[in-house]
Order: sequence, then structure tokens, then C-alpha cells
Amino acid sequence: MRGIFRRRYFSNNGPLVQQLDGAMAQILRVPHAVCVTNESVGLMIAAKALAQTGEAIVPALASPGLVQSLRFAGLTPVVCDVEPDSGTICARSAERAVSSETRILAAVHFLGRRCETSSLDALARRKNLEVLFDARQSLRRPEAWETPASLGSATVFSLVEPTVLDAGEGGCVATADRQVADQLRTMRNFHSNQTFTPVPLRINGKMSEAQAALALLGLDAFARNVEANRRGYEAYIAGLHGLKGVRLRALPEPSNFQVAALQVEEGAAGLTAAEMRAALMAENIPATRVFHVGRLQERTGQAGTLPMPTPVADRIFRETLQLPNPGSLSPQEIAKICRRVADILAQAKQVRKLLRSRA
Amino acid sequence: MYRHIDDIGIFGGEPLFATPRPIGQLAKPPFEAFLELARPALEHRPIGGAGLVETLEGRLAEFHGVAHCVAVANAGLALIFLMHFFADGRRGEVIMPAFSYRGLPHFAQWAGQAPRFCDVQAGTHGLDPVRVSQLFSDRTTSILAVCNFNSPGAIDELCEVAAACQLPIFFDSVYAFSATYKGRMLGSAGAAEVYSLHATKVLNGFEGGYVTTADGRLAQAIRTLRDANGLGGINARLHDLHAAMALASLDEVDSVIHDNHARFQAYAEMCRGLPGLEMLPCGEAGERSAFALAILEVGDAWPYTRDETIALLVAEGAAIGAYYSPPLHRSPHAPPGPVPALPVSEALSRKYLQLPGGALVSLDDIERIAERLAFFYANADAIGARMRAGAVT
Repeated sequence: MRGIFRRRYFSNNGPLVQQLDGAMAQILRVPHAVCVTNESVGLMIAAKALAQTGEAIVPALASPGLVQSLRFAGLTPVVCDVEPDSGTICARSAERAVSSETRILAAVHFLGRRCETSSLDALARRKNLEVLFDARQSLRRPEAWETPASLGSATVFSLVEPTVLDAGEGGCVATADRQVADQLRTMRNFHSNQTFTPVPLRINGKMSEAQAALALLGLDAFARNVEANRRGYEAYIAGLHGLKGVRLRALPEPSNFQVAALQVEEGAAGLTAAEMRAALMAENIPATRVFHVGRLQERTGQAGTLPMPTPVADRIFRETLQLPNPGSLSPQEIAKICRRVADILAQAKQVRKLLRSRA
Repeated sequence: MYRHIDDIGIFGGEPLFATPRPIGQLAKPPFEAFLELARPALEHRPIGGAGLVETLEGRLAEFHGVAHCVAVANAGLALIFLMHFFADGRRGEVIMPAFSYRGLPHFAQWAGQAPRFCDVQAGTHGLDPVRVSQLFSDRTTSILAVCNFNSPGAIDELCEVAAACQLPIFFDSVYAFSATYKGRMLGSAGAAEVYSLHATKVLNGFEGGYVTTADGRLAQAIRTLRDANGLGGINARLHDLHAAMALASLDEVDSVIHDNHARFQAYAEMCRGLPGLEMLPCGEAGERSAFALAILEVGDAWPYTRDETIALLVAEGAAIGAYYSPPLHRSPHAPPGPVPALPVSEALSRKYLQLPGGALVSLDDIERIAERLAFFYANADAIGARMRAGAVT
């Protein structure tokens, strides 16, 4: 940080941002990594580079902000359903949503689970579409990217993963395509000397030297953080083992283990996920619902973007609760949380009665 | 001091400045002051931030004398949000000045709007209210006016036109930070104003921007847009570290402006000895200005064209360029389509260049620039002939 002040190079593609671009490319083992001020701007410029207008297919379980980022990029989001196990985009459902206006498949690596990329890649080739991956909560170690298809046309990462890598704010767009990379490096600013190729539109998307400094410092802790996450995740597995009606969402390797999500099956548990959440919140244990694009339509009154029902996404939305990240707590604290979950389940009838009487 | 024309930078001689002299402010507050403010953000990393953004917003609202200040990741995103908000779902047009910053037509398009370039006033360089009223149509969704570093422009007249057309009007005041209009600090013009915290501006926050407004509903709408929380927003938060930097810089503003003014006066003094060169003055009489930019007008009595003068100075290590040239409607930043005739903007775009300024330019540097320009003047025939004969690469 002192170096930044000494050099007076505060932003505008300074030495630290350039270093971070290189470091991210190395750590992700991708040919090109372009760092920007945050992941929303990353999504906007990636989407715009891939398609200037048209439709973008989005899974119903998508990160907040993805839909609006696509809209700002001039694309119309069209929602499709997801796979039952992973909650990631279902290629068959996506195919039904393809129209003559479709340009992009915007897939989400949902809650730390990667999409099955080969069927998406095949669909994209058949219909001549670009694949854009939203990889928030999925900043990956190198061995995860074994084929170019697993990056799609571009993958957008967030550098705000409190238990993995934290630049405070920041995004990184990774691509194997040199032309796309040149477009992104041009689009993230307005400087004449940072103009590498013609682009449809530019924006102020620069990451500052301060952000890059934080991210570079954070990279040192990357491997350590993943290990701490793993220990926490194993504590969740142990603590929730054998409990009726709840299941910890599996995170197949390779993973950063930074997400702990509980599936609550009402029949066996005697409680809905919403009731479980209320009970946990009453014990000061934060638990959050996942995001369902359909909710966005209801709240903002934008009709006409749900051409098909999404029963799988609806079920996952109803049943899933995100618990505190594994790396953010000690194994003892996690064990305590699991005991609370067990207690709540054991007294499901009373808990339900109490919640209903309060409502 | 005698020098041969071979010695000047453009003919391969050693440049006047070994390290480039930039145009951006690049002010820096004391490092320890920044670190102290940033400590909670660096150490604890609490979810939802360390309160620094809220503190900054409060101080800026007070500074500008407005009820609401909403800080965002950068000024460009603030402008996009405002145009998006005023368009209210429609795809239309935003009227904006043609003699202005290249990012403006891009921001309009991110917001789903087409830029509609409008001519400006010759004196203030701001939107010409008469031209605005001629351009407005039922496709117009808002008016984006710019308060320039040299003048805030005809704010009252523009707001009257906007009211008559029943259109929202907002102001990009990025270069008019700390300026006054009719004796009052800028911040409450139109529906909202936008400022920048970029390091090249008077108030340095590394990166960042903010909106000032008296309208609580608008302020709330921007807060919703800057959060990717499922209510139709994206992530556009201001980074805690940037808020800390801006807070530390806020204490330095008077000193920064004082130094800008001293540099301006040194340049003005320089021009007194050089025919055809004149500094673009800042602020009407009695109004406050931050002297954020040092803009030189190149007139007919000067023996070089504006672009030749730029080439001469760039070769001496001045990291400068033309000021708002080409005008936006004739630039690569305009979307394809018919090109209107905007004579005032076109004439202005031929006249000015940006001189080095900001914290990395000393009064001594300005003296040396003056000396070099005097040499260029005294040897104009020889230098000009050689330049135009193509002896220069």
C-alpha cells in the first residue's frame, strides 16, 4: 500500500492490476484473466463482448445481479430450469428455451457446484451460441479447468469470497479466446492507449491499485483458506450425519468447500426450510434462502420473461438454506450449529406451532 | 539561453521532462491518515462494510449542502443508473453535450438509451438551453448536462427548459467539484448531480463516484440499483478502501485547490509573453473554482496549429492531448447514424489543449515549459518548416 502512495499510481491499469491479471491467469491456469472493479461489471462487459443484443438463457437459480447485468448489456433474459442434484442449468430445459433471438447461455456454477459443461458446450455448438459462466462462489483451483469448454466463451469470477480470496470488491473475467480477452481489456476503460481491438461499447470498469494490492495479498492465503473451509465442511458433514429430513449439499471434488447448504425435506423433517430458517434466526444463527429469478419478476413487476415452469428450481428454492460458510467458523462452532439443527428437528411439532402462533 | 533546434524533443533531442508530466490531479493525503481510516476495513472485513461508505456519504452531503449522497463504485455507473432510472423501462434518447467526455455516449447505451448530441454555449461550454429545447422530442427520456471545470453553465435556464419539456435533468459535475453557482456550492442542481472520486480528480478516492440529490425517492432508487440483492440492482458498491481514501482526501481539498490556482496563475503569466496563447479562465467573477484542469487556447497569432503544439510538447515529456477533440458527434464514440451539424462544438474542439497539471507538476516545471514554448516561438520558421516537411516521425 505504501508503494502505491510512493508511485502515485492509484488506478488506470497500474502495475499491481497488471500483476493481478497475470497472477489470476496463473492461479486459474487460463490463458487470459482480466480484472475489473467488481463481478457485475465483469458480467456486463463479458455479455456485451459476446453479444450486442438478443436473448440470454438464464437458469431460474441465478445469482442476484446476473439478470440486471445482462439487461444492462442489452440482452433479454429468458429463464429455464435446472438439474435436480446440482441446481445448475439443465441443458435439455435450456434447449427448449432457445429461440431465433438467443445468443448466450448464461450458466451459473450454483452454490459451489460446477455445471456439467460438455452438454452445454454441445448445445452451444448446435445452436451457435456463446456460453457465459457466472462463477461466483466458485473461484477454482487449477485442476478444475481441464478443458477449454469448461471456461465457455468466458467465465466471470468474484474476488469477494470472504473465506477464499477477498479484495473487498473485485471481479475477474477468464477466457481462452484471445480476441475476447482483447475486447475485455479495451472495454474496461476509455484510455486510448488501452484500446486493443474494436469493441461494441466501453465502460469505466477499472480495478484500482488498492483493490489489486488486497487481492494479491489474499492470493497468498488462498490454499490455507481452502484447507480451513474443508475442515469446516467436514465438521458440518459430521454434525448433520443421521439427522432425519435434512441433508448437507454435496460438494464433489475439486472444490473450495466454501458453501454449506442444507436441503430440508418437509415430509421427513416436519418443518419447511422457511420454518427451519426462522428457528435458526431466533438462535442468532444466520441462514439465507437461495435466489430464484422468479422472485425478481414478482417484485419488480416485469412480466413475460418466464416462458416455462421451473419445477426443479422451485423445489430447490423451497428446500435450500445456506448456512454460515465453513471457513468462517471454528469446527466447534459448526458442531454447535448442527446440534441446534438437531434440536429443532427433534422438536419440529412444537417449533411449527410456536412459529404459527407468532405469525 | 541559446539552444539549437536539433535539441528539442520532437527532433530527437532529450525531452524537457525525463518522467512524463501528467494531466490528472493525483493528490495524495498523508499515508498515515489514510491507513488509520482504512484500518477497520483492512483488519476486520465485516460483512456489509465497516461504515466508511456511510461516513463518507454523510460528510459529502454536508459538503455539498444536500439532503442525500449515495456513493457508488464509479461515476460512470452513477450516470448509467440515473439514465436507467429516468427512462423507466423505455428505450429512448438522452440529450447530452457534444463537446464533452467520451464516456457519456457509452453510458447512455448501457442504460438502453441512444445519445442525442446537442450544441453548447461558446462561453461556458455547457449545453445551450435554446438548442436543448429544439432537440427535445417524445423520445427523450432525460437531459444530461455537464458542469465544466471552467463554468457550471446555464443551470437555471437549462432547468427551466427541462421543466417546460417535463423532462428530468441531471448534471455531470465531475470536473466542477467544489465550484459555486450564483454563490452557492454545487450539489443540488437539477434532479441530481454526479461526482467522481477517481485519482485524477480533485477529491482522490482511488476510484469511486457519488450522486447528490434533494430527492429522497431518487436516492433510494440509486441505493437499490447499487446492490445485487434481487431487487433489480447490480453490485456497484463503493469499496471501503476507496471510501477511506476519499475521507482522508477531503481534508486536503483546500490545499489541493490552492496549488491548482497557483499553477493556473503561473500558466497565465507564461501566456502573457506568448502571442496567440491564452489560458481558459475558470469561474465567473466572484464564483469559486477548483481550477481542476489547465486548458490552453491556441489562437491565430501563435505560429503553430493546436495539434502541432501538442506534438511539440508531447515530445518534451508532457503527457497531454487535445481537449474534447474530436467533438463526440464526430468521434468513434458516437453510435452509427446521421451526423448533425453542431458548429459551436466543432469550433471549440479545434481550439484547446490540456497542459500538465496536478500534484506532479511544480511551478518550476511550468517555468521550464514557458521557456521551451518561448524557444518554439522564437524559432517558429525553422521548426515549423522542418515539422511540415515531414522530417518528424
